[in-house]
Amino acid sequence: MKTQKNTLQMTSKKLNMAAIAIQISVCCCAQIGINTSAPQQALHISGTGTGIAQPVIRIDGLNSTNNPAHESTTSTKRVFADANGTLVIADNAQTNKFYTSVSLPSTDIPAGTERPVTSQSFTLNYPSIVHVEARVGMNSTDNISDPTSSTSLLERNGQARLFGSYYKLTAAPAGVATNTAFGQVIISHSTNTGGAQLNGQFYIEPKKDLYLPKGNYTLTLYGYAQDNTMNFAVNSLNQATQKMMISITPVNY
Amino acid sequence: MMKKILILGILIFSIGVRSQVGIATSAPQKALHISGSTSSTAIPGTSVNIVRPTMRVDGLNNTNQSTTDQLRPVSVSDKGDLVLSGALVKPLVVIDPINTANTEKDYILPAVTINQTSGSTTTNSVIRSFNFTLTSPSLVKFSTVTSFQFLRASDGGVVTDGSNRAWGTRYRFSAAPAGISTAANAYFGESIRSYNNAVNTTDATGTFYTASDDTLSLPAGTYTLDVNLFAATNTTQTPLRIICGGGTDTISIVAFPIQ
Repeated sequence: MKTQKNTLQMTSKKLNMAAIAIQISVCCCAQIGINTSAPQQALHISGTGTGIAQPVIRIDGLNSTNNPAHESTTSTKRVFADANGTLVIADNAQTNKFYTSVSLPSTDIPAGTERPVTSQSFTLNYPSIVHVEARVGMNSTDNISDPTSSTSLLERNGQARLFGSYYKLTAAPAGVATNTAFGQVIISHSTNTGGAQLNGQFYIEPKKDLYLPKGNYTLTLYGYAQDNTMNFAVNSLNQATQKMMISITPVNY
Repeated sequence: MMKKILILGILIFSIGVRSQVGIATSAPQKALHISGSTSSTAIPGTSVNIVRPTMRVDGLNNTNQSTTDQLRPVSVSDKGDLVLSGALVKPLVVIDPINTANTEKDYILPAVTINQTSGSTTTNSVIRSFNFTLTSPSLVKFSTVTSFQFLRASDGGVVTDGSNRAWGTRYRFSAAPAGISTAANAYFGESIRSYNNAVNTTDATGTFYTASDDTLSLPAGTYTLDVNLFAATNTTQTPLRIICGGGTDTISIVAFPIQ
């Protein structure tokens, strides 16, 4: 009787561990079924239920109390397996990252030059697809409607004058080209001798998807005014929503 | 013997009625509840930790799956099996000079020259085609940056007629699975600009750049994407010589599989 009492006082932990051991020995097939006598995989959790109702697996190491990868007590995380097949979860920064630059500063682009407008540094923890985009408002800053101005007369000749915007990486790890333009949008402004002329704003949207290795980067947005008589500006309206955005999705880990 | 029978009896009762198994807990909250005191270990080369208690599935490890990644996303099959999922994003075509590991640095080499004629001042031609295969339904992002220069078709001089032109790029599928249009006018990703010049200076001829891009939700299958050049001049005006690809011409086709 004393023996039976002691058995009953075994902790539930021991009982449950023992249960698995017995199931294995009973099955003799290296498979464990919960709620089934015919497991179809090494561990088969059977039964019925919808959503997160039974039968599912709860893993306390992946809950928001134990695991800081959860951003909040209500977050839902993608599950990953590590090289050993151990289940882990990763925080949002490991699956997608997003950077937004400051609002594009009002930047003069003198005739015949390119000028950096703004820069944003970012870090790739893994080889990633990097999407960059910006909406860039540009306008001519010359008084091209005044028929008495010598500058205006020079510029009101119907010439296509090129302007635009693009990016360069101004810092990057080995194997990545720096100070090489990409994502170009370059269009033209044309005037003529008759009537008042419009300076802008013209909105262009330089964007690009790159596949880049891990490392630290700095991306710089440039404004460009090709013609050596017509001056341009980027975001002369100081529009707060004109920004450069970088979104990052790892390709593999 | 009595002891063993009693233990077995208790266990069957426990599993059969509660249908729940706890590991390191006497009060499992789910069919299988893995509990216990917590600890954390960094996975080298990542910013992800193994937070215990968790579970290990050898069928998901690198040896069994013939992979080398430090982490692979996990999905669930139609049968409820935990399986490794494919990559969350798949670069299908990437041509640019920024990543020096890219096989190709410019998608139009050498530059293409097209002369309009007085009888034919609308140009509509395929610059280059790209084949790709989707193994699962995906959101697919297409993006190209393409350079243009405009001259007079007859002699390569500067076009000075002050007439407005349309120019740019767009996409079309010339091959696609059932349900995806390959019609002659089933264009997408149009980026058509204007060009107008009246002054004899080479500054006004280019180099111009336009960027086509689009995102489509596409079924699995094999596709051919045509990158299409469009340029139009009024029929009574000077035919153009279009030089396409003299600058830095880049393309990316990236799939985001829908699980």
